Amino acid sequence: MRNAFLEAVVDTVLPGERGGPDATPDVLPLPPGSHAGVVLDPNYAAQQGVLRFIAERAGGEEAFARASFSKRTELLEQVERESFAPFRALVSALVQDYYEAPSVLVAMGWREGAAQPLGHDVPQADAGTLRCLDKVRRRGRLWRPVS
Amino acid sequence: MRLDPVDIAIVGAGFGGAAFAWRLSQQRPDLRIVCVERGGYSDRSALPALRPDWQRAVLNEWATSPNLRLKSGRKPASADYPIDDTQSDFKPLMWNGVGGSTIAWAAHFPRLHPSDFRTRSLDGVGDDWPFSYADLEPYYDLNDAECGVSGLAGDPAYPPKPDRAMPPVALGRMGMAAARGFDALGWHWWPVDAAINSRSHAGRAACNHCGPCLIGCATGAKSSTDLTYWPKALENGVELRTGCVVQQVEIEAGRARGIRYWDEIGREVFQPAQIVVVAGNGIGTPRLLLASGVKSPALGKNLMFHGAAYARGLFREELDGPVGPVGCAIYSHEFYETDESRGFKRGVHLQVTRENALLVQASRLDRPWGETAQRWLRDEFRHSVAVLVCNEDLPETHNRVTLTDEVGADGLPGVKVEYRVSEHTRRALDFGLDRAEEMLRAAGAHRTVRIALAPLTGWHLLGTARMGTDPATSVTDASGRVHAVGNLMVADGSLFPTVGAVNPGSTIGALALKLADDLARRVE
Repeated sequence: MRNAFLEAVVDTVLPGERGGPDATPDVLPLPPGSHAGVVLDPNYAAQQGVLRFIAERAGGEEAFARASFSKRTELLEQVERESFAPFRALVSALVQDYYEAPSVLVAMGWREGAAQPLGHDVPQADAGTLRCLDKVRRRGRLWRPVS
Repeated sequence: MRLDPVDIAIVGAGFGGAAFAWRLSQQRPDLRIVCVERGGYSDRSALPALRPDWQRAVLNEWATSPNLRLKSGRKPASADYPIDDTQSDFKPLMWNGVGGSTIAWAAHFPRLHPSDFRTRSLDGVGDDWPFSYADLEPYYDLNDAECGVSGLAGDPAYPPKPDRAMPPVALGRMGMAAARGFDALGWHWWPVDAAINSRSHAGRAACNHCGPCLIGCATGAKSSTDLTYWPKALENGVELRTGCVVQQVEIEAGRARGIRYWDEIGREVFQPAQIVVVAGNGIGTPRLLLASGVKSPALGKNLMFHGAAYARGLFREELDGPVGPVGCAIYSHEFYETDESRGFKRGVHLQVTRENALLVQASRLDRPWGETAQRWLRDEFRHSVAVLVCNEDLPETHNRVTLTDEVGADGLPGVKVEYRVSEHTRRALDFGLDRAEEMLRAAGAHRTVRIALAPLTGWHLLGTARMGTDPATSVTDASGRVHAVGNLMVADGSLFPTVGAVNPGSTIGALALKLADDLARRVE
């Protein structure tokens, strides 16, 4: 299978934010899948069937790769309808690679790497929030007595 | 191989088995107690949270469903067996190993309400428990002390509880946003009781809010019975045998003789015992008892999960949903007790939970690919508040656990779960979702979304070997003794005649402690 075809599949499933979100120092545009290091292995047997099916529906690998983004999306929607489980398995594999990619995590304002040992800072309830509990206390017993 | 007899043989080292073993060994040090567990210990130094690819573990070898773990192609640390759940609206979730599902739980630790023990008398639905909240209360207190609870005393939704050992787990911006919503409506809310250390306690570290509690707790801040009850039980002399799959409770002339199991190297072993105690959860327990030929019209029936649905609010402000203990922020019992004007009896629990990790959020979208999915994720991630709506699921005999004709790889008959959401549950969930959306809007959400049913919430496996007084409608008596086999007991969530609308862990532990005391007084 040609690289251009495989890359086109990846970037249709995971197009990224082509226009970009409203830029802030913390928010970068999501990259397309292929720019985040997501690759399809043409030798991975479990995916060959659905990839061949995509190419067939498009009229060939080259036709898929050359098609517009919206046309490629339409084709994948068609494949999803006709071959749901294999297509979703392909999507699942790509999604797992993509949303663990450091560039994607950083674009989402997140931290790359393991959850531990750093953990995260989470603020305690502030004084205003704790004052709201006084209102709850003042209501008195809410539980239903049982004789 | 036939072993020397023991006094007590416990099957299953989860919450029920662990609490029972510890308490009985404390009260009766003269007894020889053995616990046999199909899984092993979780290796905290090898948990996924210590690796950069931890998120995908949530979807694979640490998925909440044993079926998903088995399908993942990666070797799970949990000693799983497949469950036919094709005819179940909720998918059964569990962890099989020392600590049971406390290894992978959220450690949300509410108690039942006093009214939950009297649903038949008060509301004409379900059944009364054979004892009251007041009877169980000292064991709730003891269980809290042993597990270590963070929280805040003084909640008017409950009878007074002792001071919590630690202050509440940090609410975070997400929890404070939800509190704002409840407060604006004048509704009850309170910080959750959590079996998680908010500061160093009992030799375990304070939680550092890493997030993924459901893939095991690498720091040990989260209470799980491999860290709490088991070390003390072992110190008391209880013997814990891991990697041993019990095939049968051998029963002869209405008496249990002991347990037959495959040990960790595949040998068949017979362990004679004066009393056998099964604590394999609401699926594992009926599976073993049915496979052992226990006869009871109620065995395997009346499976209850808790109805579960979600409402999610999207906020413009940046929140911190994906970090911190997943089950922890605040809850509301404004609608917990019966109000018949709502069109259903009993009530709902509204729990503000934390959000999923990025990959998990992406994977659970209806269509997780394409521009729309990525746009949605951008709007949602770090900008949402989730409210879990749980209702009181009522016992219905057609919701059940049965054996299949197949034999599993573990040597036991296969197991099937049949469960359908009732009209009662649907009405209660819809009511709860309406209230959750109302709260989210009051808190400032610019958009709300309903997930009308959350199938992957089936942690609460309850009711399939229920307690009661009538052998026609219950499997055991109030002390967990199987009616038909006097020296065979159950000590887990299977015993619940009804389930309230809250998570059962706290009650499973308290109940096991009470049953252990009952037995300690009774046994020769």
